[in-house]
Amino acid sequence: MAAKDILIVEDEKMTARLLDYRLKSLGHSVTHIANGVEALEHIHKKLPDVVILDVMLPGMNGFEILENLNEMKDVDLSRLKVIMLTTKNRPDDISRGFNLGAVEYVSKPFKMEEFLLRLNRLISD
Amino acid sequence: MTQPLHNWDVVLLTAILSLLIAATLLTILVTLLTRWRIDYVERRKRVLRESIGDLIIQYTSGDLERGEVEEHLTEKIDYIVLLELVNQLEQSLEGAERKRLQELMEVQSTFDHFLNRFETGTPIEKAKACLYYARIRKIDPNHLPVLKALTRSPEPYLCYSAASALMVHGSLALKRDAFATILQNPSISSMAVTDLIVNFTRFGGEYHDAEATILTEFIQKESISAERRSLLIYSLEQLGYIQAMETLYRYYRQLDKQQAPPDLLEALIRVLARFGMAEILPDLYRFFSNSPHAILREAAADAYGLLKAPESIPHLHWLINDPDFHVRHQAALSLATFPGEDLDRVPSLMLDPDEWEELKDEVQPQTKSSP
Repeated sequence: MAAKDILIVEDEKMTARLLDYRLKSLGHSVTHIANGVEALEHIHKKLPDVVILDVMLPGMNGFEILENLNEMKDVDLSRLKVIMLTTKNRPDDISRGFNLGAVEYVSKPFKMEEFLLRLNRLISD
Repeated sequence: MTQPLHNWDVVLLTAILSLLIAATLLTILVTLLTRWRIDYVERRKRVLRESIGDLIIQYTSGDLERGEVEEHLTEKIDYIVLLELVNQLEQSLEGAERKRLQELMEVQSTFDHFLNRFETGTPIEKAKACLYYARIRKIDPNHLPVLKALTRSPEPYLCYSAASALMVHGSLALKRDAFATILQNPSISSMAVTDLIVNFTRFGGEYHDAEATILTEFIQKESISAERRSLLIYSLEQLGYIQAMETLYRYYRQLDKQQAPPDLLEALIRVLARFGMAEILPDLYRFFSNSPHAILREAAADAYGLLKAPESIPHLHWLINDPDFHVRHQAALSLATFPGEDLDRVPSLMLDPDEWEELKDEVQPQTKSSP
């Protein structure tokens, strides 16, 4: 499977480190950002293949990041795959995430193997 | 006219000035040294967190053996950092990784470290050991009576920590005893009590009948404060313990509606209404639409909206003109959930027109968007 450029937007450091470790061991290129505003700037400058996006973030929450991305005319969102990874798992949160363009919604606590399977399926589509 | 300085004046002034300069320099030096030391400790902690974090990540991913992790854990600070980082990660994970994290908590050196703290440590060290016990799968049964005694400690954090361990490892009788002790200890925060309720029920039987019975028993104990009993009532609802509702209703019926503590009555009204107990409606009409306590009028307005009896509509019309803003707000919210009720047609004689418009704008979009 081809290596992908993956951005982890997550303020829980240990979760981000574990994801970073597992994704790098699969050969992907990984960047980790813990702040919503910085994540938006990063995506705007260099569009990754996949964004793993938490909702509760300092600066700007995950939904707001998606709203901002949807408003940006110069960002080709059709190339970007967003996986929400969050403790916010009420039905209206999930539908909000999908409505804003996320292609996967994973609730915390999560099983790493299952998460990686979903990611693999997504990037091999 | 000024007089010239004598030699001894010059000497004295020079000495004072030198002392001042020396004191200033010393203060600067001490400040710099303190700053350097703080930075050094912080840097060391950061490095330690990075290295122990790496070990945890590799172990959780199956790339390290337990023995390899144990080799790196030698100092007290190592165990503290290990626990802190495991706690952080554990909240995000389940399945195989979570199981491995729990195994990491139980490595022999970590266990020995906390066992030693439990047996010989200061109260705060004992508390940390108790919290550690609450996280692992098995403890020495001889420690159970000690934990029970610690729930009566004068240190609230130790009572809470010991009770947390008992909620995981104790028999139902021990849990009940610890719970009763904690509920009667006013130094323990409501947040800590809520946390214990969650653990109490998390490790219970399949249908939680025993836990529901114990919680309802405490709700009826007057030796426990009304605030704590209200907390238990809300917990029953959050846990979905429908089997407790009959007992809760019987208890509600026997309470004096004008003398019982208002926060207790409020909790009962709200929770019984959420469980659909329409039997409380006659009391609500009789005692609570006109209660001198705003929290009870608000609870009644909430219950009318939940129970949806058409006879409640005139009461909501009355409460929408209540002197208390929260009651008016709840009444408007409840009324808007009745089919065919249009807030534009509700008489709002007592309200300021601007506030009424604002209230309608706030309430109607909420109710229109709900299914």
